[in-house]
Parts: sequence; structure tokens; C-alpha cells
Amino acid sequence: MKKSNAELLHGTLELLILRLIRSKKRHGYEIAKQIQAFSKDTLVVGQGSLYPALHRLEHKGLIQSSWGKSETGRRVKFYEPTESGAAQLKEEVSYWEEFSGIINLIIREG
Amino acid sequence: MGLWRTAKYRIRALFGAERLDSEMDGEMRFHIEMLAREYEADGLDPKAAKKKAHVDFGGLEKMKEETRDSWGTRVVVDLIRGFQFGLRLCLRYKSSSVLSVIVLSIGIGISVVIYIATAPFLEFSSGAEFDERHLFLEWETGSSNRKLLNSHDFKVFREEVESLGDLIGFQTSSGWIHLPGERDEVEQFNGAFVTSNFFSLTNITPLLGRVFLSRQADFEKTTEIVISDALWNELYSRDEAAVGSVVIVNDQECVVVGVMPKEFGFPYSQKFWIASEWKQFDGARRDKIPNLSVIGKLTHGVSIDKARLELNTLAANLAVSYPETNEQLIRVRLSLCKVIYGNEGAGSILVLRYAASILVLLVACVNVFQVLVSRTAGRSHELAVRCSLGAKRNHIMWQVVVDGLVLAGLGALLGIGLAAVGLKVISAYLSRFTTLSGMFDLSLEPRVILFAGGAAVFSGLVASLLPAWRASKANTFDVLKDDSKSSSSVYIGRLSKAIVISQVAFSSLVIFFCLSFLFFIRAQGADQLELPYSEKTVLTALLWLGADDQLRKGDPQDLRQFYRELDQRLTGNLGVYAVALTTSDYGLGANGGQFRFDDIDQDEWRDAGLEVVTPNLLKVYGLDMISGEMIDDFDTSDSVPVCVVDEEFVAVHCKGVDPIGLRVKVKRWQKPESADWITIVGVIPNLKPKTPFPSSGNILVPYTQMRSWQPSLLVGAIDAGNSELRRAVRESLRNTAPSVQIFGGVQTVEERLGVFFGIMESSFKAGGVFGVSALAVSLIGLYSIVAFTTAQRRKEFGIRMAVGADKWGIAQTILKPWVITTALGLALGALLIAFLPHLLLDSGAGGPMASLFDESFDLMGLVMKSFLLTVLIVCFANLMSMIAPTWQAARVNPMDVIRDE
Repeated sequence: MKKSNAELLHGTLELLILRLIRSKKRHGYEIAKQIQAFSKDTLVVGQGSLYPALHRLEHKGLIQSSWGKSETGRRVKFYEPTESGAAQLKEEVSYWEEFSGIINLIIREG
Repeated sequence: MGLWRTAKYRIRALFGAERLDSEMDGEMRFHIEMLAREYEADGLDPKAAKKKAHVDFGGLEKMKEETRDSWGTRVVVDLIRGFQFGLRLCLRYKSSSVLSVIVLSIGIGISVVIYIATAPFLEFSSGAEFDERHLFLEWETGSSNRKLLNSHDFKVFREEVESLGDLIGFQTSSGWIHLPGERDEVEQFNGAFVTSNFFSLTNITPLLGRVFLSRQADFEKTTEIVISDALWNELYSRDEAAVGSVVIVNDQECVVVGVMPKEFGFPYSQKFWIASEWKQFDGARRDKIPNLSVIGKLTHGVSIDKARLELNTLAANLAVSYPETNEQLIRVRLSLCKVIYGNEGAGSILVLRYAASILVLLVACVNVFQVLVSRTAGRSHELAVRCSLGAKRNHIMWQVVVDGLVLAGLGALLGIGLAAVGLKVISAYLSRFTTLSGMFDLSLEPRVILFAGGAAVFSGLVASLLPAWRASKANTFDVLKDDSKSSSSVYIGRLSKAIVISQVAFSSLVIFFCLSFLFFIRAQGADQLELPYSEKTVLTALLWLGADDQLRKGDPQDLRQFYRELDQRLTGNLGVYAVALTTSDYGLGANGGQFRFDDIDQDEWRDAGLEVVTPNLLKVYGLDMISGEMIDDFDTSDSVPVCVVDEEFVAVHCKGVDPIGLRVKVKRWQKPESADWITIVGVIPNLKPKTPFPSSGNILVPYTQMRSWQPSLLVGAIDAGNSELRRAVRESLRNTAPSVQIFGGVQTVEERLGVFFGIMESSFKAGGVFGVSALAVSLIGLYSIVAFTTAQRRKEFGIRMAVGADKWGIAQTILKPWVITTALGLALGALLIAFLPHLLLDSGAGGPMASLFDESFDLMGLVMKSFLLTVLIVCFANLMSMIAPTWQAARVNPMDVIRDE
């Protein structure tokens, strides 16, 4: 699959963002690139989805932003999870694993 | 916490939108820059890489919009932007905006004045709070007549009754009050004597000090008084040292213990309350002691029937103990205090208030509607372009509605200012004539602002919804491909013309009435009433004898005693030559009555004024009898009933017959006829001023032969306007019967007439202002429509002039349709006015009003004069409103118009 599966991505974008910024502060471009890279170009995040999602997460208090210098030396906003964001991530991952496991089971055994 | 975080975020997004926007912009531009670098690294040249990055990223502004949507402030931001847009529209269309704001401010200002003027009548709760358990106690009389408990019976009930809580008793009274050492400054105020638990009727706390505490013990030595806010202001100029000070009430020292706020005035705008147990009447005859209003609260779990049973038992015991006074008083009537002291008329006043306000606002809205129709039509191309770019129908409607709301909001702000100024002017003007001016004090309370805001929203919506709906319905393609004239003709149609017609008709009607009133007052000489005596020599005061317990009982002896004592105190002093009482208000008004003769048309009841007078009436006026004898002191309730009549009576009812010796029976409104025949013993001159209204004459009976509670005191003096004499009159009344109340002050007949004409003049001025406002509002609407249609046809006029049309031809083209419209409006107005002469003159065909006027009164002449002047004014004014746009159109330069596409 070359093009992004928009329907699949829609419900999981926030989870992916939380996961990617868990280990390291990242900016928006980097997050988009990381998703593309990890999915081997399967998932391409549209900017129309990414930035609203980042702002929603910040609104919910799951992530926080801070300004810093990018690799090019330009000032850019970095995102990292908050405590409640980290807890939320744990919960979402657990739920996802359980959910995807059930789906896999049905596909295999059904 | 989640809610708090959300609120914090949204507030930050709302007030820090610019900073957030700037951050977002930086963030997204960085993203585009990184994409461009990536493409450069892939081999694209920098320019192509940048372009591809932009394309791949998508529209920057669109991204920002979608991100802003996630902030949750879309609705508020759109509202704010909408109003900013509305303000820009106002600046773009300055002249129509100014006109609309003026019209709306007049409408909203008048509504605010109506709201404030009706507030005192609606808020007449006087501060007491009643529930279903508060009951009013009185004796059952078998009719709607009231019979209160006397103070002795009250005390018995209070001690014995168990089904009601501690009874509260109070006696309204007036008091002559002054501060110690300031006897000359004495003034009369309404107040009440009350039991110490009186203030348990309210939860309102005193502004200063306290209310009364325990029963009896404290009142042995000092008399405590609680005063109102108004009295505190009057006597002490709101000095807090008032509490604990002494004030003199009816020559008795009272100690001020508290001040109640202006919200409390129970039962009827009382200014003071004196704690009392009526101990001075202990041992007095039961028929000579005061009557009290009594309120009790049902004990929990007790029904009203049980309470009534208990009270009737107590009443029966009193009847046995005191048969001479209580034999007939064996049943107690219990009524809900909420009903007794409720504001019965509040419902209709409330309806009147809002109906009048809505009517006034609608008149203003109609004009703003015209303005918005024109303005929206002028924006038809702009709106069509917005539609084609994706604006939805509700967006288009919102743009027009917000235009109306912004105009209405500005109108409300100006309207409140106009109302404040207007109320001050009215108040200052009325204070010259009446004490009612106090009700017109405007304070910007939250509810006044809320009302004005509501009026603004109402006006804005009513004026803009229809133009908004029509604008959203217009066909985009037709508008874009067609020229502005044909597209705007969608908006300027029959509705606008119908509105112009109705406005012209309405303003014609209002102006007609204003002019008629003016001519009626001025042309018929009603503003210069002629009296048969000098109005400077008679001092008058309206008395309420019912406030005095003794006089209220109606014993003729008591009334004679009162009059004699007053006469003795005043006659001979300060140039006073006579004192009299009459039931005619200040000797000027007429009391309606009917009579029939004994031996002339016996069964026919005829109209005549009926007055109750004292013997010295003619002496007060310095007049003599025409014939026969005047009533005198020998005409008592035990002697043969007699009366005198005036010349008018003789002229109307006794043509060719000597009235002396004739006998009549009389009756007052809703009262039975007199039991005995009354003999006419004399004829006096007419004492009433001549008016355009027909008079049936007057019958005057002695005060000892017919009861009256509200006579006017007349004092004949060489210099009746002397301030010393006024003081002497107050002093004499105070010393003779301190409880008798004076209404409306002590004034000469000349001053009374001045008040009367002052009120008539101010009514006329108010009517004039209303008429001019109605006309102005109508003209603004007409001007807006004519100006718009003329502007839309500018190119057409330019072409016409280029091919040879002259200015006059252009002017005719513009004026002709609107002159016809205005003429139709005037015709409609004339039709409405034409009904009035028919009503006024043709009494035989069911027009009752003709009978109100004297035969000699030229009513038809007045109507024609008013009508012709109305037509002239309306025609001239409407023509003037059309002149400016016509003139502008006629001066169009054809070359400029043709060049300017």
C-alpha cells in the first residue's frame, strides 16, 4: 500500500503521536516522518490531520509543547507527553493490543 | 479539572488567538521548509522543491482554519468577527447607518421610558411578604364594606387566640413631623401606629439601627419610631446620627430607633412607624377608640376554618361582654393578605407596558427594515460572489442579521442616553406641577439595561430577518450575470411601498390628533378659563377626613365641630374673611350626580352636579345670592332638608319656572337616592369656570345633611398666596384634627389652574414630540428607499442625460412613483381621519362624542383646520425627504457614469 489508509489512521493518529513522542521530544514534521518511516511509507499523515490532532492532544492536557531549536537551527515547537498523556498511552496501547488480538483471532479462526 | 482545563485553554485561544496563530504559522512554515529540503535532497531545484512542498502540504490558510477549529472557539470567534463585519458595514454606509441608529434610539429610548414609568405601579409590593397563611382579620358585615377591629377587641383576640400566631395590629395615620426647635418647618407625612412585631412581616433589614424589640416594657417611658429612607433624607439629610435622636410627631417626642430602606413602605408608602399599644385609650369608650388593621399567621397544622371557628367563639364572648358595641359583631372575616395587599392591576399594566413598548419598537423596526432592504439589495453582487465561493445560506443570512443587530446595539446605547436625558427633562418639568415627578428617576439598574438589550435584539432581528431571508434566496447566477437594477428590484417591491404608504398614513393620523388637541385648547380659549371671582383670593386644600377616627364615623356633630373650630382659628387672621368646605375639588371640579323633580317629570332622572358645602361658601368668593336664601347653620340633619342651585341649573332645568320652593331627590354615583325630598331655597351665581363642555348646573346641599369624606377647604383672604397664611392653614388643621390628611398641598386657585394648564401643556408637548417623531421616522424610511433606488439607476440617468434628457425630466422620473406612493399613504390617512367627524358630529346615528360638546362649539371647523394643516405638513415633509436624492441624481455627469462600469 502506497497511499495512506485514511480510515485506519483516523482513529489511531493520537495514539501514534503519543507513542512517538514518548521516548523523545519531537516536532510536527518529525512526527509525520516517523509515522511514514515506521510504516514503511504505508501511512502518510496529511498535515490537515496532524496539526489539529496535536492541538487536540494539547487541549486535553495529554501533551505539552515547548519551543526549541531544530536540526536546521530554526526555532520550532517540540511536543512531549505529560504524565496523564503517558498514562493515557499505556491504557490505549493495552486496549489496542487487546482489540487487535481479538480481530486477528476472528480473522484466523472465523 | 477537565472542565477547568478546557475553559482555560479556550480562554487562552480566544484572547491569545494572535499569538497562537503566529506560533501555528511558524510551525507549519517550518514543516513546508523541511519538505522542500527533502525534495531538494531528492534532486529537485530549490524553486521546484519549494513549490512541491507547498502543494504537498496543502493550503496553509486552510490548514490553519482546520487547526483553529480544534480550539473550540469557532462559535465565539465567528460571532466576534460577525460583529466586526457589522461595524465595518456601518462605516461603509455611513448615512443610512446614522439614520437607522437615530430611529432605533428613539424607539428604544421611548420603550425604556415606558418601562421605567410603569415600574412604580408594578412594584407596588411595599416590602411586606405574605404567603398563604397570612390572614387579614375584620368583622363580617355581609357586604364588601369593611369593618375593622377596634384596639380593645384586638387585644382580646391577641391574648386568647391560639390558631393564629402573634397578631399584628396597625393603624394608618398622618403625622405632623418636625425636628426639635424647628416647629416652623413642620410637614405632614403618612405613617402608621404599629405593634412591636409589625416588622416580622418583612425580611428587609433596616438601613440603620433596628426595628422594635419587645412588647410594652420599652414603651412606658419613650415612644419609639422607625422612619423611612425618604423621611431620613428629608429630615436628616441621611446623617447616621439620626438613630437615637428625637423627632416630634404631633407634638409628641419620639426616639428614632431605625431607618427602613426605600423598598419598605407597608402598608401604603408609609414614611414612619410608631410603636404603640394604644394605652392612652385604655378605659375609654369602645366606640371612641381607634380601629386597627389586623394580620395573623395561621399556626402550622391549623386550617383557616378552624381559625375562623375559634375567632367567632371569641367574638361571641365579646358580644356578651360588650353588647352595646359588639352585639352585631359575632363573625370574623378572614381574607388572604396576598389578595388584600396584592397589586390587582399589575397584570393589565404589565400587558400595557409590553404592548406599548413592542408597538413603539415595531414602528422603529419598520424603518430600519427599509434601510436594511436597500443596503442588502446594494450588496446583492457581493453576496452572490460569497455564495459562489461556498458561503452557505445561513452565512448569508447571518451577515444581514448581524448588520441589523449592530445597528440595534448602537441604537440601544444611544437610546439609553436619550431616555436618561428625556426622563430628567420630564421629571424637572413635571416637578413644577405635581409630586409624581419622582417616579421618573432613571437609574441604570441591571434590569433597565437588560430591557434595553432585549429591545435591541428584538429590533435587530425583526428588522433584519426578512431582508436576510430574501438575500439568501436570491438566485446567484441571475444576480451575477444581470445588472444591479434588475437584481435589486427583487428587493424593492410591493412590501416596501406598502410600508411607505402605512407610515405616511400613521404619521398623518398622529399629526392630525396633535393639531386637533392644540386647536381645541388654544382656539376655544380653554387655556384662559374665566372665573366669576379672583383666583388670587381663594386658598384651597384637599382634605381626607377619613384618616381621623372620629370624623370617619360620620357623626354630623363631629363634622360641625371640626368646621367650626377651623373657622374660628382662621377667620379674622392674616386677612381671612371666610372659610368653607365643599366636595367640589378645590371649588373647580364638578361631582357627578342625578336628580328628579317632585312635580315636574317625576320619573325622569336628570344629570346635575351635586356638592356638599358649608354655609360660608359665597363669602369665600365674595359673591351674593341671586335670589332666595343661602343654606346656613340652622340647616342641620334634624331640620327640613334644603339646598341651593346655581344659575346654570336654573337655565337648563327650570326654564320659565321659579326654582325656589321646588323639591328634588338626588343621588350620587352608585348610591341610592336621598330618602327625603330636598327643597330648593336659593339660587347662587355660577362658581365653575366656563368650558366647551355642556354643563347641567349644580345642586348644593348642607354638609350637615349629607356625609362626605373628601372635602376641599376654601379660605377666602385678601392675599391668599401669603406664605404665612399657608402655614397658618396647616397649623390650624394640625391643631384641630392632626390625623386629617392634606393632599396636594395648600395652594391658591390660581396655582391650581396653573398646574392644570401646565399638565395640559406638557401633554400637548409630549403629543407634539410624538407626532414629530412619527413623522421623522416615516421620512427616514422614505428617504432611504428613494436614495437607494435613485443610486441604482444612476447609469440609466447618465445615459438619458447624454441623449438629451434635462434635469427636470430626470427629477420627474424619480419623483413620480414616490409621489404617487406618498399620495396613497395620505389618502389612507385621510380615510381614517374622515371617520372622526362622523363620530363626533352625528350623535343621532350613534356617535356619542357629539354630546360631550356644547352646541356652540365649532367642532367641524376645528376638524377641517386640523385636517388641512396635516395634509400640508405631510406633503411638504415627504417632498423634502425626496428632494436630496432627486437633486443628486439630476446632477449626475453622464460622462462619469458611462465611463464608470
